[in-house]
Amino acid sequence: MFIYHIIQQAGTTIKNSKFSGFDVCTGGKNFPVWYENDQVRNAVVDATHTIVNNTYGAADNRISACKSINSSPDGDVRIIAQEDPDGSMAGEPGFYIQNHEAITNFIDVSTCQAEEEGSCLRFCPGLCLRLGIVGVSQALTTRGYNMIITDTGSGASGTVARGPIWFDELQNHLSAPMPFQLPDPVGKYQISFTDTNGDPAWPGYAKVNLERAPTCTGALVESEIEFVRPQSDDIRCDDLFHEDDYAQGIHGWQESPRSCCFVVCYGVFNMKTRPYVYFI
Amino acid sequence: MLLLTSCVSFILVHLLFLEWDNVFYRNLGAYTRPPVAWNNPAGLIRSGETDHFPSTFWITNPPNDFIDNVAAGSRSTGIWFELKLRAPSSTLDINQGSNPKTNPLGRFEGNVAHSNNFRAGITTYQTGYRAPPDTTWTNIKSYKNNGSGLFQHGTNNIIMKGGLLADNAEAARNFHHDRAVYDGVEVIGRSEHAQSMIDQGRLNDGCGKAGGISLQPNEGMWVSISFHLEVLI
Repeated sequence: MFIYHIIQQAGTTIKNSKFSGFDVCTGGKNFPVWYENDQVRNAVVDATHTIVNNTYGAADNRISACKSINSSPDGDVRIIAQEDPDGSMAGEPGFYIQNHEAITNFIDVSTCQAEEEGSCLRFCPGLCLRLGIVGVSQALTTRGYNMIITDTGSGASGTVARGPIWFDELQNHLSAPMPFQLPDPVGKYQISFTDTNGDPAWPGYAKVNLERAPTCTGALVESEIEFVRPQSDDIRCDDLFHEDDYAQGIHGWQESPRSCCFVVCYGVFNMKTRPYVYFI
Repeated sequence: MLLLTSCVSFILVHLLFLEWDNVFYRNLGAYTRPPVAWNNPAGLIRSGETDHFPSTFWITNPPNDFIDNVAAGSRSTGIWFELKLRAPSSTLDINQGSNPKTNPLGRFEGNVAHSNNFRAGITTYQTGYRAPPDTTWTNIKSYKNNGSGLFQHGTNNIIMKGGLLADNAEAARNFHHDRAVYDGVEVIGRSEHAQSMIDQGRLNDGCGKAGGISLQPNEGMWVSISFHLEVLI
């Protein structure tokens, strides 16, 4: 008997409900719960959903993320993980996870069940993951960047690519989201970046936003994450319009890794079309 | 106004829409049809109207009660919350300072939408409903619709309490629906009745299409802007 106290949060909550009639097809399989594939902006998950105390039909028919992962018009969605806090889906608490190295490299996958046919997810009992989004500059300069996550305790490492940009990529005052779903680390997580050549790089700025904690105990906390920045490049402050070209409609700003001077923003406030300078 | 126990069928254009503090109780609307083809908006009376996607209950302002009504067999949707400011009603004194998209909903209980042809039995698409917290749809039934049982888009805070979603192409699509709640809902992919109709050749076998409740991965759409101290030069 698992006790779970529901606190309404963002995301969808499905509770105390009864699912049936999803097991009758011998052709294409239907699922009681499925991850949406339409308008999944930037191909990332930024919502945590609560699914608790429901009843289902066949044991191998619970949840699918195949549409999101394999056929999302805005880019195939990465790093899907869904908590089963009370075990009402899988029989015991844990997480359904997508087979992605940025998840599986940090867990003992031998404890996970085989992937359900047509679900694109596998259940891992006892697993406790937390969703986070690292926002980096979506400037054209960060195209092809990778985020490297390393557990300093275990040495485990996983890579998340900067994905496609749904909103106008020229509006580079916006952030490109790079998601993760991570367990509590053995040591700490160090997050670094590489450019298209695989060289150490810094994507203008990087900020981590942890989504609400899961129900399970021992979830990752923000103090267990640190960024690793390459040595600052002094010429950077001589080129604050780095690959921005206002005449060509490319707008944006950048933040210095060591607050060297100032940043420039164009067309953000009041929809004006002249550049502003911000001292930081 | 109390519209009580009426039966209306073969409707062209949207049916049953009023503005404030009305009660729709035990009404049946059926066989709603568009006056022009869905792909011919130029044939509409006014540009921007949506009569080519007619709904049987067209809710343009939420503060009304809808109780035990039935919307059946529309060519388009059964119940549509199409909440936007539109002239001439938006210019009336009574509507000043009011936005249908955020107004509180009256009682919405026991309503049924079935056998509707396009998009959903009940939908908030377009333009979405930023409902106040704890907005509740109680014991709603939506079944045998060609699209979704419920199709929520650009919407917040709708609690579906009890009720039934059955034999729809998909039970409920949460499409940028933040803080959606399904509590005590019976969700049936294919009922015995639908199976019997398939066995008799009266209904297409929609294997692989009868999805349940969808989870939208990306609700914030991740458009963030960073701000810094501004010094104009």
